[in-house]
Amino acid sequence: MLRTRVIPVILIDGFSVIKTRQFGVRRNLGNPIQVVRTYNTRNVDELIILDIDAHKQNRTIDLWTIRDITQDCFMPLTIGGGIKSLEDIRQTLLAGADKICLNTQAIVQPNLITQAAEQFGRQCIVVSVDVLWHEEKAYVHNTHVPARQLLVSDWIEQVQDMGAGEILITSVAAEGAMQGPDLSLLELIKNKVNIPYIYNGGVKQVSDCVQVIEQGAHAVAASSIFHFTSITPEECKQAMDRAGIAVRLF
Amino acid sequence: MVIGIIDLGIGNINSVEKALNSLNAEVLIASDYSALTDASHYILPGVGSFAAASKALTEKGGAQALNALVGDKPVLGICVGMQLFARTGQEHGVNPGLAWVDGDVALLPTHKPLPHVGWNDIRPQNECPLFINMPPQPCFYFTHSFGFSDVAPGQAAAYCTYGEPFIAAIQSNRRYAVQFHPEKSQQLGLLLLSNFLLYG
Repeated sequence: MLRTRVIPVILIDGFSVIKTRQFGVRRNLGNPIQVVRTYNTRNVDELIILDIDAHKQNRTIDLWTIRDITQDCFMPLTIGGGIKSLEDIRQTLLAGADKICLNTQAIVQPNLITQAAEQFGRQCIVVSVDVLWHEEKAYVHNTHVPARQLLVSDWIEQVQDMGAGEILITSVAAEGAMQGPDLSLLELIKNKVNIPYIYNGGVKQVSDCVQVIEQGAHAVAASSIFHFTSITPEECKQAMDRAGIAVRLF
Repeated sequence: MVIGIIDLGIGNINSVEKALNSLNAEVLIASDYSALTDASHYILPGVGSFAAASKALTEKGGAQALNALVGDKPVLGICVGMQLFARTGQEHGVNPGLAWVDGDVALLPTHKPLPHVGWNDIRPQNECPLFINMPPQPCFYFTHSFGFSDVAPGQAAAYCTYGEPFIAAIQSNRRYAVQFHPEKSQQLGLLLLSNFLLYG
């Protein structure tokens, strides 16, 4: 039986691991390679590593960092940040990524999703969607689209049709707040997504992971809970196991 | 022992190389077959679509050229590298494979969402050496939408179930292949690669 994944998200600013709160205030958490090694020894299911400054600084995520990480970490890695072309994708895969995460470029150039899926297989293409609510409507939050223009429900349908293999959906209001997951968002996308989707944002305790999966998500991602509390991905999975969700335990 | 990784220009070669390095294996990587003739083992990796991989193989002379390179030395196909063992693949049109096993690659027959992504347990069949010293139903990392539902009797080395059963590993003499990613499956994945080198 397929095991439900718990996926730590590591945000970097080009050099250091950082943690944002609601996409704003940052805290520096040190060297990415050390952080990844810690997760590797904990046998986590998968990691998502995103360079959140790469696009606006017009560069890609540092491939030497990715190569260093893959030197001794034999686990699945999803990598994103500033990826703008098929060649960027190819280089990132060659550096050791298993999946590529597109966000801004998917909005700027949606046919990149289709081209990338054709070239590398759709299982390789994760589209990240950041969600901000306004007057009970969920909109895509991105500096490259005017605020409150692109509805989340329309965009996720489009990215699926264009060939995305997975969706990483992040609630901006919940992100880094550790106030619990955005249940309205989970409800909104429940029956709209035919590909696996990973929910990210607000998980503050192990029972939140259970709730996210029971609300339909295929995997749960989190970062603050792992950075700032003593709770480990393994403990989240133990709670999920007790709730009858199939997980992979150490 | 020298492991030749066949670079089709689409794969996650770095990860496979690092995993083999951690086993202290010497690795040669090349897209040109003539640079790989001294290898004792071959790995056909692959992240990519079947269509792109098939095209790359054809440009290198197809099954005939690859058969001439590998002879009866052990080969391990990974993910799309496994799918290339098929007669044909149906991802982005129907394209030829190596026809090393009697089966075709198609979209997985399942009612569950595709791709099939994540950790799933497999059921090894018979005495495939890849699974020596493993638990009865080892768990590996998968990420794919296409695969084999059926091959000739005796060629299925392991099954997996995602809604419906499909073939997780195949073996035809010394040619082995796995649909999952051993290089991403932590300790059990390294054990599988080590088994391939020792017993393949």
